[in-house]
Amino acid sequence: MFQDKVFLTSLVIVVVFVLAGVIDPELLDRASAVLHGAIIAHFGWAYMLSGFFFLVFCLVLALSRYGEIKLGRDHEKPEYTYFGWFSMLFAAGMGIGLIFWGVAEPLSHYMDPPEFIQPETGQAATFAMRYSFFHWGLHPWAIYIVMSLGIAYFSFRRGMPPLISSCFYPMLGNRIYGPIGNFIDIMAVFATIFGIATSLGLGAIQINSGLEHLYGLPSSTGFTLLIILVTTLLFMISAAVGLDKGIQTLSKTNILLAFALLLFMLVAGPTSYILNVFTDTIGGYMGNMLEMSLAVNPFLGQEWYKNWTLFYWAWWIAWSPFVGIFVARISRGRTIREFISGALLVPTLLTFVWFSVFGGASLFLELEQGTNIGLAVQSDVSTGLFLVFDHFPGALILSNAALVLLIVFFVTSADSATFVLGIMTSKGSPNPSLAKKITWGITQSSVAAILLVSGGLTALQRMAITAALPFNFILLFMCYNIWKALASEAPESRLRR
Amino acid sequence: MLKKIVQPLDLSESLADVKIRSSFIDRFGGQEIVLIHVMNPGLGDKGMVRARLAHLVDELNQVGIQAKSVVTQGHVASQITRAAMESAADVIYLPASRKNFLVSSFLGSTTEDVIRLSDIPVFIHKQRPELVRTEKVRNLVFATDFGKAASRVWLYVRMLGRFVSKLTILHVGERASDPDTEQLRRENAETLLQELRAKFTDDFQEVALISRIGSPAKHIIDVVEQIQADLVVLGRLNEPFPSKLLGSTCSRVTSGVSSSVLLIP
Repeated sequence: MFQDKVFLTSLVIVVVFVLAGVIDPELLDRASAVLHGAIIAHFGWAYMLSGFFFLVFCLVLALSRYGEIKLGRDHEKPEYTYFGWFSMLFAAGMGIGLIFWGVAEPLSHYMDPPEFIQPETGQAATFAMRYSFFHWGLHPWAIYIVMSLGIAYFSFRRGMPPLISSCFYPMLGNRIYGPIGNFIDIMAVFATIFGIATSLGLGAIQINSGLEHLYGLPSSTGFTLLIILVTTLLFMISAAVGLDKGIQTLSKTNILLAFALLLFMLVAGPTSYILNVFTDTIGGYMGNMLEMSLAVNPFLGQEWYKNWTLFYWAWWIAWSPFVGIFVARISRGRTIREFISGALLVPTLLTFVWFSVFGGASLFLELEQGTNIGLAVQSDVSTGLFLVFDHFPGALILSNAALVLLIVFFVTSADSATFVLGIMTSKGSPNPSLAKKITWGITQSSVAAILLVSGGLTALQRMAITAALPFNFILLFMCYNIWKALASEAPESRLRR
Repeated sequence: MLKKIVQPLDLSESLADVKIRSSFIDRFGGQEIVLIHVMNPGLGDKGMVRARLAHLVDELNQVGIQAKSVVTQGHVASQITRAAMESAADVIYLPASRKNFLVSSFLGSTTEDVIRLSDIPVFIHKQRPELVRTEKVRNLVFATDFGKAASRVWLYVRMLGRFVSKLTILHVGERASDPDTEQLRRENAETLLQELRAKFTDDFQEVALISRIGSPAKHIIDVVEQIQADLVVLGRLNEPFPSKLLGSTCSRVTSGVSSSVLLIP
């Protein structure tokens, strides 16, 4: 197990960072803040241009003649049903973040928009919804799709290991097996473990907030650590059971629960208001797509864009290795057109509905009912969802359902990450050993727990975003490799005859 | 095959230059030279130009080289290629000019325009090390992608075997997208190179094979410099728009190598 260079180096890097976070959290915080600030300030434009390019690339690819090519051999059929596929896509790609931000993000933008918009006005509400759609819409999925398409194509159709380095064969040849390939894979592990550890930490804090809100349980670091311990046990069980049974069953259960919650809120909440918000925001989103895609506002309000849009873009890119490998693994047998249109449109639409229902309901309470949820969210974003539920019938049931949803999303995210880290550090073996999965499972939970205690969680998040910069360029080169490989399909097929 | 040769002149050349160039072409079996000068519309004394060309023709005839002259006016490269077509020439001969890199990058060059516009072979004569009477062509590189354009070159390569002793066949391929297909591609390239070797074995004293992966222009230039080749023969491709934007393989090779280049359209 310890002979694998990628596994060993990644583990050492993780341990070094965690030790730095424990021994001198202030130093880690300062260093990561400087690095993160410099990247966002100097490369923000690159993230925006790249994000837009990835979306255009996906659309062009889906509509091109290459759309007919299968992510697998020509005779292969999709391994999972549409329902199973969409459930796992959604759970891995957005899941826990959406529960966290579904209420908090629209309210945050509403209370604190860029300086050229008056806060707490109708204009701010329109802006808040539109940018919530934008941050969670087509662009993140385009980033994930580029990554997963590359991995799926090169592994299932070209018979290479499902590693990010495999996608560089047309450009690098056998050098993918050397230091360059190892560097790419180590960066992927680095971004994944730090990204997932941050999400687990934040998820545990939100679960704790929910338990405090509902049952008055103490909101303390000790209790959050207990939550991490319990959820770690849960996702280790799921990881041991495997992808087909564990993650798929949990994802399906979760999507059903999410649907039920969504439907209840839509019916019990201000239905017409929510539907108006959905329709209006879809129109605004589509109408302003080009402008939003490239907006960095160098003249006014750039700070807001740095704090939100650029942060998100870097965050999605940092998450792309994890989501990309996982999504690739579950998409075998689909055509490129089916894969892109499915992964781009269905989760995005579901996300829009989610934001319309929860964001719309919270803005309804704020604008029409005069509640002060916005202020409460400003002071603690993790409580937003539970505060909204308090204003609707069956608040206790709703909050409990949301809590279960959070826990299950937490488990599926951690489970998928364990699985993906196992693949990444087993030379791309599609079924990594249980020992490796357990190693990574314990590592990512330990990282989250240790840094939660030492206060280094934010620093860790910044480090994950730092890893996004090289990954942005890795993704751009990946587009080139994918296109090159697809273009050579016809000439190469003559060779095989 | 290269019997009738069009040689553009800007009339700054000395008689000695013209004679040496003509004798160089003669080494490849040339029989007739058409000297062409393109005047700028409305400028210059046509009578004087004609007289100068007539003098050059006489001098060439006296040393046993059959020559005639054409004077025309307009866009230089277009007129050269048009005159070459009308006189049923076999090749356009262009001595390479040493234009400043920036000037040729921004303004282009007549050589590049002729390469782009010509439908007949173009010979770009570069001197290694300098233009001398005794210049010999010993080492020929034939760059091939095994495509149609390259197969049109075979006849010319075979003909050049009468004048050149060593042939290096260079294939620059594109790496396949996975290791298994790459192995197939390598095997296929090796087979096709061996077939070409067999095809040219009788024409040359020595035939060498080189196979590489990457940018064709970069590797052709690299190999030519490495083996100190005297002449490169290329089939001219109609490359797609993005490649043209970066400069076609032919024009990049032409400007990058220090050997002469024969481009077959």
